[in-house]
This record gives sequence, C-alpha cells and structure tokens, in this order.
Amino acid sequence: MTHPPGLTSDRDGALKAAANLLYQLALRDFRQRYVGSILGWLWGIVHPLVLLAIYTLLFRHAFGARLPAEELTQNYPLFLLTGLLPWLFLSESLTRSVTSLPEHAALIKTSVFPSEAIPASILASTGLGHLLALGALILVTSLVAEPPGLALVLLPVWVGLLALLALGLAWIVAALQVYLRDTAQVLRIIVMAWFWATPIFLPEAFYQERLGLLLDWNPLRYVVRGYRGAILGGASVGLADLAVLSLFAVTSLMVGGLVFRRVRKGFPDAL
Amino acid sequence: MARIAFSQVSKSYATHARPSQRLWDLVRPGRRPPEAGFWALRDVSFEVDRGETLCLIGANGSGKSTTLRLGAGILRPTTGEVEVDGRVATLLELGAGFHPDFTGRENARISAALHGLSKREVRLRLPEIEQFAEIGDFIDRPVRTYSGGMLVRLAFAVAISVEPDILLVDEALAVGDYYFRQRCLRRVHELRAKGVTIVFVSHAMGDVQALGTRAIWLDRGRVAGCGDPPTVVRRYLAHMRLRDREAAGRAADTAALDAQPFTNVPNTDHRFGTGGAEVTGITLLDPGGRPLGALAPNSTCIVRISARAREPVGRPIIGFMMRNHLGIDFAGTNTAREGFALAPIAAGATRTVDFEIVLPELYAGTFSFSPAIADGGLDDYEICDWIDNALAVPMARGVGEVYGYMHLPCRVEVAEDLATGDGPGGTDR
Repeated sequence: MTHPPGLTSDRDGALKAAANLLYQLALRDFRQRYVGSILGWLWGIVHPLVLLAIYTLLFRHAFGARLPAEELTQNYPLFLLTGLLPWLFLSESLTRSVTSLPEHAALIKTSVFPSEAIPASILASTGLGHLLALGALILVTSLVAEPPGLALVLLPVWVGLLALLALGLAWIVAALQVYLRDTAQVLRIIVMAWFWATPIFLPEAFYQERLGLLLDWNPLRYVVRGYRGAILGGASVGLADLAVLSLFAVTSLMVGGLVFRRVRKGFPDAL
Repeated sequence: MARIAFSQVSKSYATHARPSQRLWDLVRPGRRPPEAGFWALRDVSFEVDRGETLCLIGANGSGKSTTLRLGAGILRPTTGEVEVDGRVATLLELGAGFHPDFTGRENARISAALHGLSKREVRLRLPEIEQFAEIGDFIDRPVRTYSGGMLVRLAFAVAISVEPDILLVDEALAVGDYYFRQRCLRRVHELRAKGVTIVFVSHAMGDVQALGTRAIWLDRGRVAGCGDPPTVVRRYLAHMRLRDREAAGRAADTAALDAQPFTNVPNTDHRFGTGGAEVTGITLLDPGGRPLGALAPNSTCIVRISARAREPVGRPIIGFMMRNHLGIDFAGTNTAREGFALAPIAAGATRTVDFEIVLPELYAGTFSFSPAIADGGLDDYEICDWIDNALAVPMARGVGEVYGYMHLPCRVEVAEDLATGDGPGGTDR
C-alpha cells in the first residue's frame, strides 16, 4: 500500500507527530517574536493597554459619550477590552499568518511535512498571548467590578470557536498569499474595516440602526457578545448566538482546510 | 516497504507569467493541458528496492535535485507517477529550517518534529543525536555561531535518528571534515545493512563508487546511463571530458591563445582560502604536452597548475593533493617540498607551474587532483586558495590485478634449497 511520504502508516503515530510539530513550531514562533526584546511577552499586554487608553480618551473626552444604561457594565475600559481582545486575537493571527508561508519558503521547499501546521502554529502562539491577556482581564474585572458569574464557564467555548474561525480564515489568506501577493495588503484593510463594523468601540445599539443585516452576518459580533456575557456577566446565555457562531466557525474551518489542501501542492513551485 | 518507483516521470517548471495563473491552474476543474515551461526531467523511470543505495550523478542542472524532491513528495510530477513506500527522511539543504537564534538542541527538536517524530520519540533520541553530532557544548549555543561542518553534523544526526525507511541526501556529506565523513559513510553502510533504501546525489565520484550499489547518470533531465557505479562513472567522466575538450577547442578557435597558462578548472564546488590568490587552471599533460584524459600505470605525466595573485603574494607555494577513489589523500606535493622557492607574484600576475610526476601502478579507480596556492613557508603558510577535487580522471588498468591501492615495483627471488632444520639464528640464542 502507498501512503504519503513523511508520515508513519499508523494513524496514532501520525497524529502524535503532527501534535509535536504543531507544539514545536508554536513554541518557536512565540519565543521568536520576543527574542532579544527586553519586555518579552509583556508586549502582548502593553499593546492592548495603549489601544485601551487611546479609545477611552476618545470615547469619554472627545465624544463625551456614556454607555447606555442597559449595557452590562458602566465601566468603559472593561467594556472596550472585552471587545478589543478577541478582535486583536483575530487580526493578529490573520495578519501574521498571511505572510507565514513565504517566510517559511526554505522549509517548505526542502522538507516533507504538513504545511497546514505553519498557520496553525501561529494561531496557537497568538492564542497563548490571548489567553494571558484574558486572564489579566478577568483578574482586573473581579477587582474593580463584579466578579464574573457562572457564565464564565462558557468563555473557553467562545475562545475555542473564535480560534476555529480564525484558523480557517488564516489557512485561506496564507494559501492565497503564496499566489496573490496582494492578499496581505487587502487583508489589512479588511481587518481594519472589520474593527469598525463590530460593536467593539461603541455599544451594539449604535450599530443596530446603521448596519442591520451586516451586523447579523458578522461572526465577530457574536464572539464579542459572548465574551462580554461571560466576563462582565448579567446577560442570559445566548444559545442562539452560540449556534450561529458554531456554524460560522465550522464553515470557516472546513472551507479553509479544503482551500489549503487544494492549492498546497503548488507551494514548492510557487514559493 | 522502503521502495521508490518512478515510472515515466517528467517534471516541468512552468514559466508562468503571473503566480495567479498558477493558482487558477490548481483550482479550475478538468484536466490541465501539459504546462509549457522548462523541463527539468523527461521520461525518467527507475526503481530502487529495499536496501539499495542509488547514486545520482550528472552535471549541474541535470535534474538530480528535482528527482530527490519528487521522491520526497515535495514536488509532484507533471506527468508520470512517483510511488514511494515507507518513511522518508531528507537531507536536502544544510540545516533547512534551522533558526539562527535558537540553540542546536532547540533546532534539533524542531527538525525532528518536522521529520515526523512525536514528543516522546524526540526525547528518547535527543541524546543519540547529540552524541552523533559531536559538537560538544555548542549544542546549547545559537546555531548562528556554528561552522558549516557543525551544521551539517547536526542536520545529518537528526535525519538518521528518524530511523527512516528511505533516506534522500543531496550533496550534504561533502561539507563535513574527513573524520565526520568517515563516520557518516560508516553509518550509511549500517543503515543499508538494516535495509534502508538510500538515494543520494554526489559529485564525489569516490563516494559514488564506494557507496552506490547502482548509479544513474542524468543528462539534461534524461537518464543517460544506469547500472553498476564504476561503469556509469567511467562513461560519465568520459562524456564530461569530451565536452570539456570541445569547449576548450572552441575557445582556442576564437581566441587563438597560447595553451599556457591553462585557464580551466573543471570543478570548483568546494574551495577555501584567504582569496589573496586564486587557482585559475589545472590540467594533466603527457610529456609531449598533449592533454591527458586518463592516467596510465608506470607513466610520466605533467600536472600543470596556474594561479593568479589578487594581492601580492610574497612567498608563494603552489601544489596539489591527489586523492584516490575513496577520497583518501593519496599523494601530493608542492613547490616548497620539491625545494623551489618561487619568486613573489605581483598583484594581477599569473604563475604557472608544471609538476612532472612518475606514476606507479595504481588501483584502477578515479583519481582527483586538488590544486592550491599558499603564501609562506612549509611550516607557516596561509592557504590563499584550495579547490577540492578540481579535476577527476580515471586510472587505466595495468597488466595485472592491483591488490590494495598500488602495486609496488618488486623483484622476486626464490631460494630453491632451503635447509629444513634449524636455520641461522633459529632456536639457539
């Protein structure tokens, strides 16, 4: 019988090998990002904090706005962070994945290994940073506001769905970039636009009137709602949201996986 | 298991105007028309069975590396079929995937993961990798501090630790020092004994004959010869010499230059030195000054070496090392050893030296010549330029068998009536 070169014939061994590959690549990516920098991984927290300060100043002092009374919290920085963190995770994993294959061109052209692991490892390493930031956010929330309630147990589900969504998209943009070098530029615009089209900076009510249908088709909106519900508490568990987001995530993962598989044969030639 | 089969494999590197066209070709439904482009391989068929060691030889650009990449499954054939059965390990590029800022150990872990080892397997094999690489404390230092030889040692150690069924090696072994090469060669023999199938590319004809159970000679993407290594190597070298002579002939026609100094070095793949001067040519001539394509036993031949100084060379030494088919330094000499103190060479000037040597009857393998120019005396010199195996020529067979490396001139005397009892100085002391 024939099986793809580079893989062991038994499924279990292949799976373990793939897991180790993913782990090693993610570890390397995580360390590589901060190698030689003084603050190291703390940059992963500094970055959102700066954004937080800017947006808070804008919202409070430039616009003189207040959160509507029906929002889960009246603490604007917490409100903003619960929306900002998932967007940062998504945008960072996509903008870093998109150029990952050309960056690993030497490897892809000389080694036999599932190249799917490269965007996946970036997602894992970005995800690690995201988890650290989330932990800090939960800690701060418990100190300055209400500690999160039982809804917090759903947070891993939201994080997981967001990761699957991001992975599928990361595979698509990374694969496209190999052939269409404009992808990275277009992606930056899309990610920016995505930020403003998602109720991160302003409450959802503001978008409801203006975007309507577009808001319903924005998977990130469900993620942000889920994060806010889980961390800031108050709202009832949005089972419908969960179902819709799961649909988005699974679709993204499947389409991304199929696209990647379809075009990866050409990577060594095109890179 | 452990088998590779190519059936009528062709590979073209499509010369697409835009990469987006490539994407469209991959995605669109239906059969693709054969891509126009550069054909790196044309209609190549061969099979390598378990435990065989196949060596690919050929000029640069003849499709050797493409063949390895197809075998590894990195490239896919344009037409034809590549069948690979077994776990493949590749050593295609020195330290591919090594990150310069990470230590040798960290890189070995990643590299092993890329080769398909699980976490537990890596942990078990790491000591073995360290032991084989023999780079000592460097294992915990960043790879960017490594020499080329250390890099290849580590990379090779990882590749063989994978315990592959099939090992594909692209010229990597040429980098290590003599000692490491010997260990690699021994390891290759061990692997082969265990039934590992090996395909390797080499320009070192000594390796080809020492390791290969079969050789394939590729010429511009086609199989030009296949069979037992000595035969294929002989035909390949004969062909290369013919081409070389034609090229030299053409040059002579157009430029009508005097034959001296000779400016051609057939192989400059591996050279080192300060660069203060460079070897510009090496050739073999018979005593009448005609170029030699092969060495004959018990004959006189002239090794002509030309070198040009880039910077002034105060105390030039010009010489060469002759290696046999196993890559062993067999014999060598230089101007200083022969008692000549060469006059200084001014920058930009060229010096040509003829060494007239008398060859004994040598084992009929391929011999290579590595010319060099150095600056200094016999005990304190600096190599300006050394070209490894710049020229390779076969040694013709003499009248009889050569046992070992050479046949010593010998006179035999036989005493017919030896006493059977105590000889002189027998038992009594």
